[in-house]
Amino acid sequence: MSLIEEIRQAVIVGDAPDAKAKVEQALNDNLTADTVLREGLIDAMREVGQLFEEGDFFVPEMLIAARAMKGALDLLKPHLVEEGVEPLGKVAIGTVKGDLHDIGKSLVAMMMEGAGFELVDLGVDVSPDKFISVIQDGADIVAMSALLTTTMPNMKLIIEEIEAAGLREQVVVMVGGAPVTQAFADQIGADGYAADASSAARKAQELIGR
Amino acid sequence: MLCSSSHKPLCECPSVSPVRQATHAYTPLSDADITRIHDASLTVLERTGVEVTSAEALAIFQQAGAAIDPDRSRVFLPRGMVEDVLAQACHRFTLAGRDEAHDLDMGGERVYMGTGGAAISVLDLDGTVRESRLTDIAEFARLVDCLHNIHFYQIPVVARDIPDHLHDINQVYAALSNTTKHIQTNLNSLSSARDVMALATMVAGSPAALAAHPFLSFVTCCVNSPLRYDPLPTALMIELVRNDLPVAISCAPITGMTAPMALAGSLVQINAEVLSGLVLANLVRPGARILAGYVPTVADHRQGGVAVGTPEFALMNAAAAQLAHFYDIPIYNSAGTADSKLPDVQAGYEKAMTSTIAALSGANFIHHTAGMLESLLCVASEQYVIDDDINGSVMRLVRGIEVDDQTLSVDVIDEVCNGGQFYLENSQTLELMRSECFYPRITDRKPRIDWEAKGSLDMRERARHRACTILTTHQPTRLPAAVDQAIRARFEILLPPELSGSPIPLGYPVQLPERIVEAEEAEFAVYECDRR
Ligand code: B12
Repeated sequence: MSLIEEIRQAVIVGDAPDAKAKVEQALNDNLTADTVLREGLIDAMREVGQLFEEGDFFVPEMLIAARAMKGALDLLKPHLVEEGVEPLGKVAIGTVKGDLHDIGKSLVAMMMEGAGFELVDLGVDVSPDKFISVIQDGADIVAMSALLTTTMPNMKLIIEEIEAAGLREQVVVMVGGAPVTQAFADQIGADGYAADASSAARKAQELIGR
Repeated sequence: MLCSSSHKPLCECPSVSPVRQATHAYTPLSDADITRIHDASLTVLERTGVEVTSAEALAIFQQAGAAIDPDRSRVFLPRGMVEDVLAQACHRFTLAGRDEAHDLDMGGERVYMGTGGAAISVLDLDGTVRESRLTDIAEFARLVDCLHNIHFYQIPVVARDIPDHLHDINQVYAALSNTTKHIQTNLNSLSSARDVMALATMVAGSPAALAAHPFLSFVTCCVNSPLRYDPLPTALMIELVRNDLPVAISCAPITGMTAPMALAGSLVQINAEVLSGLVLANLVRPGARILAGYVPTVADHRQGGVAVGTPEFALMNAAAAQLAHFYDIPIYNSAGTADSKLPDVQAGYEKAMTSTIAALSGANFIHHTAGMLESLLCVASEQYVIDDDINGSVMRLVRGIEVDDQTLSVDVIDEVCNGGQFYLENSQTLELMRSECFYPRITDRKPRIDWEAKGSLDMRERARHRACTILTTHQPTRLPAAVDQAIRARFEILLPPELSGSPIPLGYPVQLPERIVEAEEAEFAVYECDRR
């Protein structure tokens, strides 16, 4: 088995220490960070995604694979910068004010991380200011989750506040959660909506254009 | 196409069917299992404790002798303290109906099956899905008022067409003025809790009358699993208990997500959560009327969604009933839940399985047993009608087989075999035929030819037909006019008057698909033909 293949396997089975060790070895063997990222990590997560969609992989298996991927990616990051590889982007995700439902949000965060995004998880009951300040800190995508019909309107408020702060042009806004629909997303001026975690990650890639 | 309201009403609304005591018919846990789960729960409360950020609740726990870690807002409940406080708990109480024929006797193994709440969309009779609205709460209440295997009405949907701050008062008003069955609601704020209590007091006549005959109870989801208290519902629970009103303290962990993957471990955690809630409530008011709310949910780990039409959900709900019986405290749990998006075969099996298991375990206040689809997100009128048949069948299972000298029928057998022909004409048959069997309303048992003559309708279509008939004809007992006027004068009521104070007008519109309306005419034709 090639080293790249070993990295792929380590990520797929979610063995974080092994994935890290193999990535280190690959860097010592003078493989480029870009190759390790694309052919190893991202390709592994593509396969994990496929296994998940076919029903072979369950959510917890996907979660540990994403964790393994993230650990390995952290190791690669300085090398990627050296090589001048553009990072995919930074996503800030949170459940809006008044809402404590975080399972769906956490699944979306995990899938985005698995797709190679840098993740800032703001948690639950997140106030508009927190979303604003994370954009000021360089988030490329703001992803908001709401599970209550009564907290959905807060998504609109946050978009308005982002506009008022003059930050709307520099950030992609995504929304989701059981009561949220594409029509609602359009109505409040969000850039993207997705009904589940894997399509959320695909949508994010599409929106960021990379 | 509108279904006409000119035909004879089918709904004569007889009084509630007898709700008998279950007989420990289904018990997935052994006595030893129960003791071990109980013991493990107390260990969890003592060692891991619960997170309580509400200053008021924290103070109540501390004063009663719980150990507190202020940095982590954690409360550790000593075993002895839990046992002492539980010794004061209320074992039996009545949840009243506005009509006392609908009173629910909570405790022991008496089983009641009702609706469950807070869906956000409605599958209409014409097959479209839309956002739920205030008028739905009135309409479903009127439907349930007429379906006597649905014993209570927890407000089933969110009124998404009215402002948030008017939700609670309007939802309760819409329910109260359309059914005389017991009503249960959740609440969104302390101020609306006070409004709702004021409204209920106006209906009851006085706070004492309300407390004595509580036709309204509340559900507060105090715990955000694992073992964390959510401040707002906790504050609401404390306020309601102080006002001597009955409250269900509901805990809803999810296996492998917010609770252990092992079902036994999930039960340990939910039991610890429920016990801590019972302790808090009984510290606020010893002997408070509390329903122990066990909602032990399961995840489908293939997608990550919550799955409630599952065998594991059914098993844990039955186990929860055993735990509540062990403490001799009335239980609030769930059944009749479905993950299916529509009233199809999947919904049918999910509902029949979960309801059978929960009811046979002797649970008291089983909610979600009517109308609910799509993992608690959607309800449908025809589903209430279908579930009325399922619940009736399940209640018949609960009743079991009565064995006594009369029912053993030795004399009857002898009589018939010595001269009689069939049991058909025997006096025992005439005496018992209506009460010994349950006769579902829309379930089909006719010969094929008759079924074809009536349009070859499947269960869902027949249910739509009956829902339409009830909605166009059933006149519920309204609130007394003076009370209704006083309520409308005092609160910002948004429900149209024809859905609360006045009778349902003739020609009341309900949308039905063409095929069912045609079948309705066919049914009429058969009736004509029979008469000739
Ligand atoms: C689990 C649950 C809870 C748990 C939450 C635990 C937790 N840590 O999250 C607990 C028990 C604590 C809870 C509490 C409450 N809940 Co709740 N809850 C649910 C339930 C059953 C499942 C939600 C869930 O986790 N689903 C699984 C995940 C994986 O799915 P998901 O969240 O939809 O996420 C997916 C997609 O939507 C999407 N997605 C999600 N977020 C995002 C974000 C982006 C950017 C994108 C692109 C995509 C995306 O991808 C996800 C993965 O595929 C739902 C019913 C339901 N079926 O949805 C009710 C439900 C949402 N809750 C409800 C209610 C009423 C409440 C309470 C008010 C209860 C009460 N009566 O007091 C409280 C409110 C607490 C609060 N302030 O938030 C109602 C909502 C009614 C309404 N007005 O909208 C529902 C519909 C249930 C019901 N019928 O009563 N709840």
